[in-house]
Amino acid sequence: MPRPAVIVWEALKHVFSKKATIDYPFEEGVKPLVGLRGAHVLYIDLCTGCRACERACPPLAIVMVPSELTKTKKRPVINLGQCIFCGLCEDACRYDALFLTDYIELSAFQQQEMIIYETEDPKDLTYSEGTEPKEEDS
Amino acid sequence: MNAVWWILTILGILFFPGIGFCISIALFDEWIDRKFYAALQDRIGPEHAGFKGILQPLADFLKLLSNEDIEPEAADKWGMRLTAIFGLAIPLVALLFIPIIDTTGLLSFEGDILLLAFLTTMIALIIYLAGWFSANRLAMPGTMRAASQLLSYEIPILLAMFAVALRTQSFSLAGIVDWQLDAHRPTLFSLPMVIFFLVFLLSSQAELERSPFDIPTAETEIVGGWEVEYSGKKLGFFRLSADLQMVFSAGLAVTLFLGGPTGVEMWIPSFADWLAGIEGVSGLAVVAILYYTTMFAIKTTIIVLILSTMRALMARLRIEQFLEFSWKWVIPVTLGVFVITFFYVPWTDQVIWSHWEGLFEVA
Amino acid sequence: MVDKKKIKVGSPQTGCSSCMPNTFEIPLGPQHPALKEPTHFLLEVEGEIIVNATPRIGYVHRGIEKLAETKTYSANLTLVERVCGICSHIHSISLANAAEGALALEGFEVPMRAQYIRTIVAELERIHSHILWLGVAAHEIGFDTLFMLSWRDRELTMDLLEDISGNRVNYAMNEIGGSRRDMNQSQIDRMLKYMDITIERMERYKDICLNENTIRMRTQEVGILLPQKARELCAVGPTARASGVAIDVRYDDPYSAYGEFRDIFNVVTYDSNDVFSLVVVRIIETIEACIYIKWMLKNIPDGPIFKKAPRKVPEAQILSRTEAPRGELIHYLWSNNTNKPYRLKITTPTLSNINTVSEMMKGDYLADSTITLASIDPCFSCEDRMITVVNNDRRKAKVETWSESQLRKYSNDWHTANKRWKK
Repeated sequence: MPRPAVIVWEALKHVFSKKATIDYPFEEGVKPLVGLRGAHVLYIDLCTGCRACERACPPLAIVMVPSELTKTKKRPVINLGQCIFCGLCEDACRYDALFLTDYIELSAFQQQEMIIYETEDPKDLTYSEGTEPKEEDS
Repeated sequence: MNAVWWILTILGILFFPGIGFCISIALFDEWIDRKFYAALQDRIGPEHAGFKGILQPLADFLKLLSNEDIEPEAADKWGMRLTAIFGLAIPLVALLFIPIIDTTGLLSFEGDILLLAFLTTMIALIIYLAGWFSANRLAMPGTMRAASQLLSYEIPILLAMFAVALRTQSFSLAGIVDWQLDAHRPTLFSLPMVIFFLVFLLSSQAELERSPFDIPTAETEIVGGWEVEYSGKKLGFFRLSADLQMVFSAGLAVTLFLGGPTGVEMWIPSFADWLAGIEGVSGLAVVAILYYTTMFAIKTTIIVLILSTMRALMARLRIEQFLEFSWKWVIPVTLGVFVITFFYVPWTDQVIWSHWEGLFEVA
Repeated sequence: MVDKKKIKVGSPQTGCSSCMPNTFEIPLGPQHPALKEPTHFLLEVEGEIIVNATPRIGYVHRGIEKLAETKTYSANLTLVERVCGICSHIHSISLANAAEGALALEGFEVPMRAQYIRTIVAELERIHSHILWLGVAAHEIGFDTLFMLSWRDRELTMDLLEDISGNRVNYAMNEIGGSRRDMNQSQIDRMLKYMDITIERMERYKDICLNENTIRMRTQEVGILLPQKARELCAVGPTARASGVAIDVRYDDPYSAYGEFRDIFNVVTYDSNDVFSLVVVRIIETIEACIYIKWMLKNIPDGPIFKKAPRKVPEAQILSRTEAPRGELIHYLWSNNTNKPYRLKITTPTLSNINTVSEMMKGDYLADSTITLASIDPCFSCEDRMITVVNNDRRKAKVETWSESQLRKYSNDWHTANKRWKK
């Protein structure tokens, strides 16, 4: 039987219960346990500069710059402003040197801050200590 | 009528219970409305300005005041400015007649209901002019919708107001409140007044252009309707005006149907006597004023909560469906009940109420 | 007041504009709060009644098809996902199906578990797309409570997708030759649990939408599209099914894992031919999608999820049909034995459905134009494949179409004029 205001009990039920909103920056957000695709981490010790990630990257967000640390004297620099977080670089890396982490708070004031591993300092290249190398699926 | 009386009256109009207090309670009620509306939708609503976001309406208003004020080339600029100012002024004037800190309003005379009826119609006219002056292709349908909607729902509101006047044999709000005090019951508990109360709430929702009756300002259909060209200060004035109209409607409903600013003293005569006694004493008069104001605020908030719940429950109707509902159902029913009130209610009320009189036994 | 039924779509009395010539024109769009993406409808209005509606599309041309010719197949899978923000995964399935179809000529076969995972993600996407549409439609008719509550329940599906793929919008789950991520047992259990919750909540919304008087008043007998007209205008997807035309690529031409459960598959149709019918069809389809997901999760085979495909796709011309949440999606792939497509042509469901909107709007009130437009779940940015520059004065508008030889001549002229140009 059609009648107006069918939703009234459904709506009134929510008045005193806990709300579905997550007040995100002030409250902890929801994150999946594994496999979130966020900002990159590069293990420069493992990287050989083979350019596999550069070739795999669909939006051309990875470029190789000269470096003294790798075998081929090149290392990747990742522009997160262009990155689409597809994870193809992660799959392409044969030496398990490049990973996507679950770090997702990427907003920055300048475009320069979106480019990671721009500096040569090895300390900056492995800033995330807790991230373990993840096993490849295939 | 000495100098002190004049100073007190002017201060009253400016601050308490006049403009300052009315704007505060309007912003407070907007916060209540937004919070409750959000809670019905499983959201949290405004959260970060002040305690649980209580200052958010004020912040929004100040933000709008600081925004750029754009006026279209083809629009009647002074017309737009004047309608914004009048839109704010008329609800403020109307609110001065509502009894808030006393059983009489700040301004009061025999027949002030007629003036309030006129002022509510003036608001409809202002909205019509506001849309007309802005000379916009999307404002015109909004204006036409606003005019037809407001005028069709003016009639049930006036009928409800006059039904209460008829029942209480008084044409002033002070007289209505006094009648309820004398009869030891709010008008709502008089026989057909429940119907008028519901009609009044429904029509108020339509008058305030709040969802589901926000047809004149429907954002997804006509991009804001009559207020589409208003920005900055003028939009801020109209927003504040909408809040003030909400408080005015709620306050009028409280005064007409729920006993105005009076509370439990309806059924406790000794408390009523004590209240009447301390009003003369200058020091203790503050207690009475606080008591009345609190009662008024509580009752107004309850009405606002009812209005917010109505806002969340339904889809917006089309204008012709809504007018059809008004002219085919609300107005005939209200008129019929009005006629019944006129002829039969004094008699039935006498007979039936005498059986119920023990319910609210005067101690 | 003009009787609405009398000037209804398809009836010969529609020519009422000739007896009352004083119609005026109201533009709907390109900027309008009811439109989430830019498009333009020119409404000819007689009083409050729409007598004609002319669509004009092409505001968001992005050149994706041309860009696809410059990228490898695996990069293209992530590129075509960007065609649409809501139904992203189905584009990637469609291109993968096309490329794998070409590879199948050489005996390449995709593992079944990968097909199941693809289908599960596609059905999850359908659920979240339909719930999103329900919220948008509720918002268009001013029912914000239903809008907020339905979008709250959409979050469950979004969380599941984030859990499986790591992204919330463009999942990047597909690879030529399989799926890129596997599902473990805890994810499957969580999905089964959430699907039960979603079914329960969608049943509640079904009750609300069927019983709420104001929703019925706003959607019944609004935007009528008769089955005959739906067939003539080539309506696809829920728009056609709401007119009683039982077409569904998932059933008619099964791809991925849809062939496995064809016996429990229902093509949902409803016969009131109006916007209300669309609401009912979409809600029931959501519930059905939950049931299919539960079936697939229980019957998912073990095995590899990925088989290494050769980099070069043999020369072929493949037409791949899939059922996006909005209707039939067509990817036409012309491969030329390289690792990049020679030509990729995408036809999105909105392009097929956009003509039905003008048909649905005729004879309705102006206030119903937005809900009618929203009822086909339009996705205008997906459908724009070309750009035409039109004269400022609309009445002198002149659209030029270039043939291939003209284009080639233009390109040759341009390159001779700009010899030093480099990428």
